[in-house]
Amino acid sequence: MSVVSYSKKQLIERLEKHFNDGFPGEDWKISTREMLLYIDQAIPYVMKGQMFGNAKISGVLDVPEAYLITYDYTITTQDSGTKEWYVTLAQPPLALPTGYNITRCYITDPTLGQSLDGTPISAKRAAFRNNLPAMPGFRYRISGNKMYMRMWDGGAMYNLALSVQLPVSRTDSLTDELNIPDDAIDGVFDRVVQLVMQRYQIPQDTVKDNLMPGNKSS
Amino acid sequence: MTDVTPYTPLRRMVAFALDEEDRSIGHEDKYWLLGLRALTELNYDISAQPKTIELIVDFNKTARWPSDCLSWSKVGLRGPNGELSVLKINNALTTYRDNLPTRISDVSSQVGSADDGRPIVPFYNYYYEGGCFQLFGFGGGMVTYGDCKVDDANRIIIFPPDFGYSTVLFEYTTAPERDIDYQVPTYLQEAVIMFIRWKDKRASMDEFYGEVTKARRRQPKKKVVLQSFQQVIRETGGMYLKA
Repeated sequence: MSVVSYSKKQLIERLEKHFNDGFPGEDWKISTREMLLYIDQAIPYVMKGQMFGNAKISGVLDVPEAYLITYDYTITTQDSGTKEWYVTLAQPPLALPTGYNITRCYITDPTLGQSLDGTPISAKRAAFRNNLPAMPGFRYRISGNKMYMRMWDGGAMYNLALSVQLPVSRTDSLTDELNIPDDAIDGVFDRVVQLVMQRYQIPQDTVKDNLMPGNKSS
Repeated sequence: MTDVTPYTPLRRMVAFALDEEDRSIGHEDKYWLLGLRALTELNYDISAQPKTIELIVDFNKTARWPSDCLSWSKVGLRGPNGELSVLKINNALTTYRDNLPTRISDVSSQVGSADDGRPIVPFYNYYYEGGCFQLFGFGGGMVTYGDCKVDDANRIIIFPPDFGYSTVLFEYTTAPERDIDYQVPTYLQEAVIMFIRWKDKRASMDEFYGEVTKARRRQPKKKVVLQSFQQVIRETGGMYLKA
């Protein structure tokens, strides 16, 4: 068990100390929420770099497991027009190929356990998919942050317990363990620093002589 | 306990293909549809199982094909010793209005019956009352208990208006059936996977047909039912390849 718990709150504190050469004072202008925006922007940027870097070595594209989080839902809503059942995801899935933006999607039951995974239908296939025979199980398509599902035989999905696993960049909690691998922290940190420096042009005391930046009068 | 059973769900074969190609779940649906196309191809070429059922002859002297019939091989009656006694295929029977309930009246004769001088007794061609005769223009053929004609377009079998039986046996090759998922004979597994890989541009057509040839040799009965050979099958009861 690590002595240090890596959370987004800790990462924000680290960034603030970096910019302020110490704890931020009253003149510190960047709020926690704004810092989170930069962090949430940096995470998928670093993640995709790692994915393609790994693919160069192994020849296979894959999502590093540390980025994955599983969310549990109870299906209760049905689209009145299409009769598809839907849930609202924690965030719109990342712009990764089908099967990588959402890595797993399955139904669970206290008696029967875990079902076979649902089958993702990419946006370009959704238009003609109903013209083809249906694979047993359920299939789903993504539209924004909604996941629309349909059983192969048109059966009801009301009240089923759904689990969805996907790589997540947005923040659910400031204090939960950060869902990125340690070898990504460096990339995320540097990326946020770069973005904030571009935006705010914060002067840095590079000489470390405890004097304010600028020319000395003496 | 074993993981290798005579039949394998199509989805498992798809999972094998996904694993082999290092594809994600994102390709599963496409691969399953390719697997279904593979199953259809293989069914037509090598793996269709013959099935025999009893069809009811309707009041208009037709019998409708079952819905899973891809192609037929025999029409007949239950004969002695549990055999199927095939009916003669009489292509002179007209398919005029054979899909309508008024068929019998619609095909009623416009001309009188010709008197060909034959006695109304069973007549074995070329032999009568101890003698052989040359009867030119009078066809031979095996003795059957009736005629029929198969109307492939309308998927029905038609019988002469005086056909005297209420049911017939019908042997045919079936479309693949699903029990939730398609249950595929395991000897076709590699052929299905190779078809998927071929259509996904990761293997060649030659590799697929190589697997098909291997699968055909593994079939329990090496019986090939092809459209062009069905006449031979009807008259000989089967055709077997050496390979």
